[in-house]
Amino acid sequence: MTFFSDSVLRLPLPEAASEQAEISAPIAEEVVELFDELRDRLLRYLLCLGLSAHDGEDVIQESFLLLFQHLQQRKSRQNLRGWIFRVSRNLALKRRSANRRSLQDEVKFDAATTNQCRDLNPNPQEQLASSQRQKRLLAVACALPEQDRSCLYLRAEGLRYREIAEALGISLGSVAASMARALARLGRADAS
Amino acid sequence: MTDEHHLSDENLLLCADGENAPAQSEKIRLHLAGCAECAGRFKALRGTLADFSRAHRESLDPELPPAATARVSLKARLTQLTPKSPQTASTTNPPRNYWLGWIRSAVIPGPRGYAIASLILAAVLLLAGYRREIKSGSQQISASLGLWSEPRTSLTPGATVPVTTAQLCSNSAERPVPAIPISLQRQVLAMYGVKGDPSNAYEVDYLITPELGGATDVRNLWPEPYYDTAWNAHVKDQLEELLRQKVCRGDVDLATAQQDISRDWIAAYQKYFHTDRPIAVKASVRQL
Repeated sequence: MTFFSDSVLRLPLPEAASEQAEISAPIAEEVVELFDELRDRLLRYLLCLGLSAHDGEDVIQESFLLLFQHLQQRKSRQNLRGWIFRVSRNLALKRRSANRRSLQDEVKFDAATTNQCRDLNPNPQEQLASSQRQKRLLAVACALPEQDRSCLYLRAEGLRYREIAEALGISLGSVAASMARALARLGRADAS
Repeated sequence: MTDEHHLSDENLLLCADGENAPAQSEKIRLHLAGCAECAGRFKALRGTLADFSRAHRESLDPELPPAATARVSLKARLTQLTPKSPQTASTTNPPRNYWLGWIRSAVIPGPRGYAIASLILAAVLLLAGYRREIKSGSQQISASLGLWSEPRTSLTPGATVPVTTAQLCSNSAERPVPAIPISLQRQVLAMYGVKGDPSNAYEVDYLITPELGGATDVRNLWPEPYYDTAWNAHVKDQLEELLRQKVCRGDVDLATAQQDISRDWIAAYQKYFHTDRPIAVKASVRQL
């Protein structure tokens, strides 16, 4: 009887380990470059999803480590920006759900924390500083259905529609339709 | 493309965002050159897009901590993950198959193997005794709330979707955990005789998590308590994460993991965490 398959006992060949080391260093550099480009955009999006800045930073770190593994395993390089937003979003939704449970455990549950739309004007000074129009636009965005809102936020972060589609796991047509609906609502708010 | 004579909002938007095919964009530009109404709408739309993007960033930027610390941390973690070439690799760590020797000796007959096997058997028997005692206690508490740490097998036997380990383990973070429709949640609550909507006290949860191939099916869902019992939703989350890691590492096959978690998840927890009671949440699964 064989208890262990060959694959379990097989040691990595020295050449394979060497090759792995050779490809990993440039990938790590590439990941850091992408982090420099996208970190602020990702963090703003995660704040919009209701995460704290601290949790958002954690999620971003985890996402870029997953990207490193993804590239190390020579997986698809197509649409990496969409990929990283998608992974961050999924991790953020899990984190948000876990946070909600913790709050409930401590009987500190506050309905406001489950609202994905954050307090747009946390202090009176900021309220005065920001224009009425900006406030109106943000309030309208906040009241949009989840998908339309996400499309709008991601577009505001400079993502192309195909990247938004990848991030949200929806079709390109759905992104265009969501954006059109969102813009129509924003336009109506402007007109009123 | 047009509503009789004018461009649709969607076409104007696609043009403003540069998302149209070049030929289509050219047509739109030609139309805009000759139609003052559409040109006005186009300008207003671009203005709204730009103003919203600016408002969005300005409202959030004050909350962003500086990126420097996070960047340093990421670089350090990437360095840890970057394998050293064999020539420079440290030799202080035990070889990866160090433990295989111990496992081999436990399963392959021999004096050392018999001794280890006896110890394992004794530990298993001890654990089984403890488990029965603790489980009955926690179930009494939950039952008084109308909630159960473990589902009733007759109502929730577990259900899976056809999926392979490779599919589950490749890019697991890229797939969202499917939300359970409210109608399905109500159906589950009704089956268990729980009145009202999902509350802070419990959640309608998967018995076999989708990350292990569990189906969004009434046979795989039950109202699980968040607290008031030692064996709660948080504890089950720990087991799910550990099992997922074990399945993806090839330590446990998927069918076994599904079977263990659906038959008796508390027993599975005790088996895989080698403990008779839930470990502290902070004891990360990664430490195991």
